Amino acid sequence: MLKKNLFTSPLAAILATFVLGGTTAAETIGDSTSWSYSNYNNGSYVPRTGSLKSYFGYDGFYYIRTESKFTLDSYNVSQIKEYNNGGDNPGTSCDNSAAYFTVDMTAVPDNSLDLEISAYVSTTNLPDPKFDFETDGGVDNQESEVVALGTVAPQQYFFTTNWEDFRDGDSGDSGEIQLNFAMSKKGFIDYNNCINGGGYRAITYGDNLGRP
Amino acid sequence: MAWSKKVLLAVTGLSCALVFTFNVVQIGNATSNENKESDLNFSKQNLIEQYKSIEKTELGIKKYKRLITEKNNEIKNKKVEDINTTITFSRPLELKELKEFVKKHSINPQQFVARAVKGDERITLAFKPHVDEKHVNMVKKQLKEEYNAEFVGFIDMYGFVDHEYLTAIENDEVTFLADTTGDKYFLKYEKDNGFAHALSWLLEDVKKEKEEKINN
Repeated sequence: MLKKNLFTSPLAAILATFVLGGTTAAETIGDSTSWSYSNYNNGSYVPRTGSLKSYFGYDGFYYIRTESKFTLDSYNVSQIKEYNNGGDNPGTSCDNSAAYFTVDMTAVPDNSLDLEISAYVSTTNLPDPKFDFETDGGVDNQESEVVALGTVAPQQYFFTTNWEDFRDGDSGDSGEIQLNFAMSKKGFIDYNNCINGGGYRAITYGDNLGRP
Repeated sequence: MAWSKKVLLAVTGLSCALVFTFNVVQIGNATSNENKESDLNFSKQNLIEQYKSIEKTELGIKKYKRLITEKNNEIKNKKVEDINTTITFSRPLELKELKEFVKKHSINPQQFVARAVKGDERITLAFKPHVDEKHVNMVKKQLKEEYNAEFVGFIDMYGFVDHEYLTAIENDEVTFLADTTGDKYFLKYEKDNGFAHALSWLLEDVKKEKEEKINN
């Protein structure tokens, strides 16, 4: 895995201005998805409505911004509070342990040996969050995760991850960002999801630097 | 003055007050049995339970801080290296100050946490430790443009610290609490050791509640 520093020079800014159109801070909108579930079959803690969007830009360095906005309704909130309390939690998982609402974004490259993007900041309005960047097999982070230790409310929340973009156009530099909701327990840096896979969504990105 | 600024000033004030109060209490209790806190959960099984067991009052935070100081003394005496340490700051720091703090105390940083505010709403950011000004400036712009929020500063961090540097970190004027209880030294029976949760959110909650009581 080799980080490309070719585009950190002033030439890159000029190039980006030309390629991205007008301003070095311009963003290009990439793949997106949204959902509106009619029921709670994906999990009582999974928001029934939300979106996942991607933006590609240059601001002294190339980056990808992936943002999820989702709404927890009053039923989600009541169920998440039940998990928070431990004991006999909803369903058959997570019993006898306090579990907390968890959101993660995972970058999965098409060439599994060469992830060319790397998370550097996560942002959320979830209450009392605990973050984790999990690395898998190299210096590029694959997963950006947040666990809400505070008490959630019926409202819209967001979780955004910014990734440094090191793609150089090789086949397989492309991949997808997967969004997942879970309930997790124990630990602080390494949470264990006791219910996973609820409301899985994904968006794709291509091979080329600065482009969707 | 915006609520957000009030809270920031309040948190800083609370931090200073607690530091002061804590020192006074420690001196006052030097020969008593009150240094032994029995009402906090140190089952060494779950750091979340430990955090959740902190009483959400100034006194509760003061008790926790006293207990952690005892734990820090224990791990220093054992000369443990690369201690998993959570540092809650007494005030929000600029990136430059944060980097100087890390360098001065030879910390191997793992994560920096920052606060932003949008009116009454708190926004939290977690940075990988390699970030520099260009990353932070980009995020500041993003906060303004996407959420109409204002970046406040870095409020806590996670990193590895050698025992010989711990006392200086505890005594640094920007440190509210250096918490080592996430280290495997204290979590001998838990496979995946980690980091204790920082107190920033709790400090903000306690101060806000106190302010609301005063205003009412």
